[in-house]
Amino acid sequence: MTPSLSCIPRYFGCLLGLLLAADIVAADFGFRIVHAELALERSDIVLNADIDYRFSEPAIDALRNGVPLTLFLRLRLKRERAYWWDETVLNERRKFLIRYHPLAKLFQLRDESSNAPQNFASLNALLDAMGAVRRLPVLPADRLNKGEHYWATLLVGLDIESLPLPLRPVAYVTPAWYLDSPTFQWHLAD
Amino acid sequence: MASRRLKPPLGLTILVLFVAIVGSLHLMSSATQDSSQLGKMYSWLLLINSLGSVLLLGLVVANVYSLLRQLKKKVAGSRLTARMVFLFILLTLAPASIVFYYSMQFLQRSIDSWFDVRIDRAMEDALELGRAALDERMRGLLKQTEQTAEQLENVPESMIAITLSEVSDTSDEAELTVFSKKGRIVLSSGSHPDSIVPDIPSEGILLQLKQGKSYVGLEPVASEGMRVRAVVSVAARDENYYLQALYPVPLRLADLAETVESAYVHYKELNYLRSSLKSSFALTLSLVLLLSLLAAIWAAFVSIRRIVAPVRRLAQGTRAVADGQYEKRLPVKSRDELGALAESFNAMTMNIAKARDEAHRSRVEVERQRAYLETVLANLSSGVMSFDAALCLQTTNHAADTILHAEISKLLNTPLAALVAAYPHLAELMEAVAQRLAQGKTAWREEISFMGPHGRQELLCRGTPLFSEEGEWQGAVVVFDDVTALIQAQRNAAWGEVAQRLAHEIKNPLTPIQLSAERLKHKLSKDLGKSEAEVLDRSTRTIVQQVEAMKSMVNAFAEYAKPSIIQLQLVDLTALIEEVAALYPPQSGLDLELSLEKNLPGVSGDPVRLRQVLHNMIKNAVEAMDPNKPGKMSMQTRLVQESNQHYVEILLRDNGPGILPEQVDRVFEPYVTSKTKGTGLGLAIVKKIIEEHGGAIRHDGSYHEGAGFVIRLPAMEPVEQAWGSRHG
Repeated sequence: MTPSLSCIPRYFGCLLGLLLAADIVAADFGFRIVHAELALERSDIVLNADIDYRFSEPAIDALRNGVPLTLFLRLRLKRERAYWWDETVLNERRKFLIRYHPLAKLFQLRDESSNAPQNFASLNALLDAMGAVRRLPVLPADRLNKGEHYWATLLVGLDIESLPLPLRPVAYVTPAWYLDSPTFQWHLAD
Repeated sequence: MASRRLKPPLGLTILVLFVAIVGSLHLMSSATQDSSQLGKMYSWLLLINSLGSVLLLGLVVANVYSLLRQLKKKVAGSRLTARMVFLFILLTLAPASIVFYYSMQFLQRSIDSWFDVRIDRAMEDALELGRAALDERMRGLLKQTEQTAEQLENVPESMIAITLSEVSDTSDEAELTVFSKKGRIVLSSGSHPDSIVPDIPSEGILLQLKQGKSYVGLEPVASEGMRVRAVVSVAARDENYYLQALYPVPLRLADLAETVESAYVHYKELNYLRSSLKSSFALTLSLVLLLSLLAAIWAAFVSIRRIVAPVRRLAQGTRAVADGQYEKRLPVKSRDELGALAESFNAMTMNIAKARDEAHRSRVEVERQRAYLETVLANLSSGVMSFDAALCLQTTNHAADTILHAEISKLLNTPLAALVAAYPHLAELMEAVAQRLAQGKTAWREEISFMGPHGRQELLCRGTPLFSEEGEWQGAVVVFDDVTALIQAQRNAAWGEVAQRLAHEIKNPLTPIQLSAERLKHKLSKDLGKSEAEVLDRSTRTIVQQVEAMKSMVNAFAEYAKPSIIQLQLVDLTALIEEVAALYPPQSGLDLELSLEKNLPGVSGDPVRLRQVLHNMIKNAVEAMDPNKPGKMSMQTRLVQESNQHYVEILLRDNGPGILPEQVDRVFEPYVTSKTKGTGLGLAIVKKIIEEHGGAIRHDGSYHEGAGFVIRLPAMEPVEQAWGSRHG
């Protein structure tokens, strides 16, 4: 599966940001996938993952000032093929919206696929809850064939394209806004 | 050519580019102003416009580089292009920069004016007010929940439902849930619009409860509105429970609170994004300016190049014309003044080319005429000289050089005096010619005699004045023929006639005279006395002797006059001279000195006649010499070349009295002599024989020790061949 065309400006901006900030590696922000696995639960394949979400100061500042942040989780599942490119069985991209409610003084997490928001008294509580992905159904188990080899990749990040428009040019060229985790890849056990 | 035809018109290209840029910029500007659908395209638009800027920048840089190279090479029109581009950029940049500066200022101030400390304060207060109103309500609800919990204290688990139903009468809108500390739901009442599973409080709330504190909090709900969550501990006998009550906030209050909150959030977001907003607008504006400027500069380059192109072509055309390329034509691509200029240029070059061709043709014609005239002149046997008004020599021909024995063709444009200075022997002739030219402007004809290097020459000259079209005298042309030989031939013919008459009229009566005298002597000598007989005898002897003398004289004269018969053959002159010289040993009283050039080519002649020539010359010299002085004579041969013809010359010089000056001109005529001896025909016969051999004899004027003659005979054999055969 090729990346969608809408990602091109982001990649362009990302490259620009990387060029501008050489010390991005040493920064103490950015997302990291500690562990991820796909497990069989009844008739579904579910995702369990532990993700360490570390927001940068500008991101937290923006959040506290009413700017909603959109995070995404991208899961890809591929079937290995000997003489051809690997088949993409699943290319799932989920978005989560985080926003701060000043009246209730709480942080709200909204999964775009489900309308039910979750409220948290603190950002850390929200991040902890979000970082512990448990039994997230991703596809029916019958989509996978026994005996075949599969491998999966997981990526989480901040969607700069969803930021308010005036913030985007700044975000493109500021390393603190590039919070994407390295791609976590693993092979599925039989 | 095909690619040129397929190339879209420049105007259309610029228009499309302009529309694309304006469209893109407008979209970006719209996207900046509101967060509509265009907002999603903002990044794309930004990228497209940035790439457009880079592309245009590349075009401008390429054009500038090209222009600089043209300036360095001093290409025609490059300086004008540079000046116009510079002016255009200046005219574009100055107002654009001013507008940009003030727009930025206006933008900054406008955005700043949105925000005010009082509005800040008001927003904070409004939020605080809302929060206070809700807090009051929350406290009441917490208290109500705590009262409900108190009623549930020490109630067995089986009785909780009944007790709670009693309590819920008072708070029918609330959603009550009783759950154990381990999360086990004991009871749940009320409506659950979202799910059938009760909404359990989060870990943070539970942690607060474990510390013995009740929890009350406001939270937004999924659909609309807000609710208050109150959680309190319920003391029981065997196990403690938690009671959670979810109270919906009245709709009116929730709406108000949400309005306040959304306004506050929006204002706070705007305030936070203030600098980003400014940057974003500045970026858009800068991009607009940059794109506009670059597009304008590029368009300026293209337009100016098109404007200057005819001027450049014109400059190249004039350079080509200056280099003589009159075939240069300029393409006429427009109907404006420049097009008219190009047309005029083309007409001018066409006319120049035509004039040049005409001039060339005329020059060729003139050259041809001149060559023809020169050929005619060169082949004329008559000598031709033309003079301008200043009497400078303008034209001459080969025959003139030959006749005058002077290379006057090398002295063109020189006055007569210079001619005389170069060739003094022409003084007499040129003086006469100058006199005639100076005298009149009419045609004239005259025989002019002058002393040439080889003797006196008679020239028959005809002068014709030359006039311009306006009738102005421009000089004259003098045509002359060497009639020396003609006059000489006429004289010779006259002498021949005389000789024939003499032979015929005198010689015939001589024999009867002689016979009559002898008869007189024979008849009368017997009848006369001794003395009379002696007189008779003496007289008749005298008559006979004189008649004999007259006979011999007439014979000699007849010999001279009669046409000789010569047997031509190749004669080796050296051998012939040596042979003749051998007949005159020193004992003969003549010291004959020979100086003969070796390897002389042979001549075509009759050896008998040529021998006679040599004998005559030697005899002539001997007869002329003083018998009391030792006679000396030298004979020298040499090879000369004249007008591509080789001649053998024999120089004969003696130490006699020489030729009298008054006789020099006529020394070869019969009976012109200063000697006492001889017939007076020796040199005349020599001249006759030599001329019959195609040669010439002349008096050697350069020799003054005695008489000197030069005999010239045409060489027969080719020189190289003769020399080669002799060397071989």
